[in-house]
Amino acid sequence: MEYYEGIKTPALRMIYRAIISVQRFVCYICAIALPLIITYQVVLRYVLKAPLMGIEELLTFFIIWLYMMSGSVASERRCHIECGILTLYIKNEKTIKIFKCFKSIFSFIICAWLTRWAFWYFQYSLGLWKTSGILKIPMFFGESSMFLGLAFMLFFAALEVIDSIRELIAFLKEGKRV
Amino acid sequence: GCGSGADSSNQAQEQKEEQTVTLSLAHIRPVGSTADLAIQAFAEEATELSGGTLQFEVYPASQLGDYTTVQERVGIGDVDMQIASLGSNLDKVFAMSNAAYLCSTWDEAKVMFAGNSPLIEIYKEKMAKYNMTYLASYPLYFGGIALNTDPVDPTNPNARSGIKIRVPAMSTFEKTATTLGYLATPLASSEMFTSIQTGVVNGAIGAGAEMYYGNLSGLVKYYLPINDHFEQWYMYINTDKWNSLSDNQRNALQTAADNMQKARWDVAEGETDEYEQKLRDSGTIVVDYTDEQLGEFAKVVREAVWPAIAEEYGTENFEAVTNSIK
Amino acid sequence: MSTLAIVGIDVILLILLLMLSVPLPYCFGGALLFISIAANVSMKSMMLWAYSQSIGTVLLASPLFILAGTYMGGSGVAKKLLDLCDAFVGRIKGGLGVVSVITCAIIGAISGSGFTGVAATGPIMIPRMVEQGYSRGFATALVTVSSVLGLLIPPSAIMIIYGWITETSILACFLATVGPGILVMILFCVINLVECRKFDLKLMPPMSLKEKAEITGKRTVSAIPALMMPVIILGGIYCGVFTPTEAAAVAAIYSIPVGLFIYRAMKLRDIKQMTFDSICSIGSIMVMIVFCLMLSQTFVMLQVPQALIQIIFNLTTNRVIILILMNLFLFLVGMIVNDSTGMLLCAPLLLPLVRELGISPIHFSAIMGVNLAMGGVTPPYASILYLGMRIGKCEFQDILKPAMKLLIFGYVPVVFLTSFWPELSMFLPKLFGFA
Ligand code: NA
Ligand code: NA
Repeated sequence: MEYYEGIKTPALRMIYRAIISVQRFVCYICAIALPLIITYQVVLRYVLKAPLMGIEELLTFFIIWLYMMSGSVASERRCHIECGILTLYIKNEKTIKIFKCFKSIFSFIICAWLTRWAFWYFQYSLGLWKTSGILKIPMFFGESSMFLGLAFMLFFAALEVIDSIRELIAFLKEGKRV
Repeated sequence: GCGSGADSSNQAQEQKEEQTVTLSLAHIRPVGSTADLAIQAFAEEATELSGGTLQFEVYPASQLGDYTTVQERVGIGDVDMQIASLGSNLDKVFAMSNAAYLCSTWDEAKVMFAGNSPLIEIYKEKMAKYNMTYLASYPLYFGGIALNTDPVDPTNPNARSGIKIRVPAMSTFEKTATTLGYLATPLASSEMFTSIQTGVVNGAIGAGAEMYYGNLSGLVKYYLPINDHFEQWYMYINTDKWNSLSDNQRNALQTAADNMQKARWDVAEGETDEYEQKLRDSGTIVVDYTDEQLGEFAKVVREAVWPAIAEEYGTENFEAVTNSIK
Repeated sequence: MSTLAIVGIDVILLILLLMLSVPLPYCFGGALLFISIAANVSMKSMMLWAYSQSIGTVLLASPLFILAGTYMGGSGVAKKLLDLCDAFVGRIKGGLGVVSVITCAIIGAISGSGFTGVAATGPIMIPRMVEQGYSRGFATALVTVSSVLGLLIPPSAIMIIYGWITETSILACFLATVGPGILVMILFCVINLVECRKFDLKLMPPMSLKEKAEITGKRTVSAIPALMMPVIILGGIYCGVFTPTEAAAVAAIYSIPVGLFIYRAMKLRDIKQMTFDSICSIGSIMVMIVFCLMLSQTFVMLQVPQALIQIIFNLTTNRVIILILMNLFLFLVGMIVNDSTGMLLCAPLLLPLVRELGISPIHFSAIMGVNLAMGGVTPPYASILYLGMRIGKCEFQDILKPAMKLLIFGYVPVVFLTSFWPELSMFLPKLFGFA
């Protein structure tokens, strides 16, 4: 089941669906294009003896978009790596819930801070409008991925904060009733 | 009232001059290399000339990123200074320094890169546009081709060997390699060693004896010193930082930079011979070229490559620069 | 507060965040935030720097191998290869573990980085080992820790850097780590054989020689299209057809038609799901590495390794103690920065000292190599370990103990042997006339 099916607010649900469509589309494109382009270059070099200049350069755009967008996919699926040891010793459910709240808020703050700097970079790149060495592709088309990837990650980090707070409140309410 | 006001502004002026500044200075060679020692000496001299008010934190070996990245970091102001080649990421004209046979002898090079030559003037102006201030330049070497296979008629610029060689991702190198009958293969510099070792390519263009000796030790069977390009580094500082320095500090920095440049021109040519000898000692065959043969190479490459790359740097710029040695 | 104290607090903060199970990218992000404020490191060009570091083709090998590994798993290529393997070692208790270690060494041998081994063999070997009865933690730890063999068995990125910096023959440096690499490999195999007695392994039933020949023959035939895969990857790289990164791309492309048309183990729509699964893994790894790189860049900017070295070498002049301290120092450096950064920073710093002690630069290349290679699996900077966890679908607490066991009994002894028994690393370079 997709996460957005549980979102009540129509506007939010629409934004969510738009974001995941974009990120997944970009990821599929990059994940398919990268091996194909690289294999194509090998074939050009060995079979046709005519490697293309600029393919390396073209690859960098796909590479960075793959990394940043798949990073936001990992945020959406909540599958970033964690290696908690201390948390294993927390047995009390209320403590777990509170702890989760803190964790998600902390992650959100860090992500917001990083996004801010990525935005600085976004503006910097837009202002300079550099172009790549051989194909003359504007570097902005690659560099903007840092900001967009982090912005998407921030969006999902925010949802995680909301979820964890909701869970905690629900748990506390239930506890009172019992 | 008035008097004390003037007094305090005077004091502020003096304080500004006395302020000790630590400058971060990045370069691309390892600690202890010739270039590193020259840069350390420059830093010491600048510190001394400034009466200790200029201090340096030297970051060797591209620790702060490859030179194109550090160039941008200098423009931004996170790194104060760099001494390295100029990357063309900010402006294509910065790649002109690497253009094939811009100069072909040491005498020409000295004219081409003199302090007020057309090339340096263009660079000063362009650097200013990106918030960088030119200080000095640092000549490295003339480039050539390294092969780990037998060359085909290496003294003939019109030979067609079809040997696959690694070219840096710049059109001037690609076109030069193709013109000289090689198969230009673009590969990242980080993959140069393994790709030559395994035979993905059989050689490289884009560096000189020093780099081949250091980076490809044991893999170079032939070295063809055809002087295809001149490797020149530039020392520059973030403009805001430059403006914040006192006159005394600026003088110290400029003087030390000029001295470094001068000292380098005195030894650069000899160093090329030294590294070619080191290559020979390690078993590489270094092909000897007569001046006429080198002239023939320059002629053939200039005819084929220049028209194709001039536009990239701005034809007007390129002509001004190439005319300066005629 | 001194810079070193701030860095110390930052490393403690990082470890704390890791232990509190904050997602890894944010652990590194948090440590980055702290240090940028406390030590006043400008963040302006940090994204720019991270961008330039991320787009390299060498780093690209690991995501591509993740992709290729997933396709190999789904296409039946992996299964056919392992079935064939089983025909040979299926009766031997712990045989599969030995196969894992050796495959890792071979795959690592063709790549210059520590990531490739686990990225390429993990998706195939770990599930198979788990299926046979290995604990997930041990299986993942074994493959992951073996992955650092990629840095010991040539070619190796850090040795190229070392040779370049110190003007030592790169080939000699390559040969110097082969001895320690093989020893590590043997020790890992032995530990695997000892450890796997704890597991209730499902082995192949005993059979007669005839049966065995029959089954081996049958499996060999059906494995031929799959066998083409290692032939393509290894042969292609050793014959100079392509670089390791290109090999990963070709492997991914090759396994699709094989899976669709030859083994018919997958359908077109399975490919979409498999790609999506790989994307999740790639995302969690690469973003973590990007932030991790930024953090180690701040340590570089603050010149931390230089400060550490001064402290350590003001302490003593005794040769043995200095060698031990040097190992300790390199271990500490490996904890906070990645292998190539560590090499760039420390080789020129340590070399004069090493020369004074009368240690040959070639021998020292091996000392640095084994230490820094280990850095990839020692937390908090343990990018190879984290990659292994993702690929093996394994929790940190499950991998930690077996990984430490492998390191302490299989790796650390080799680190010390390399330092104090020069012949181990010098034998091959001497044989080829380098020393
Ligand atoms: Na290797
Ligand atoms: Na580590």
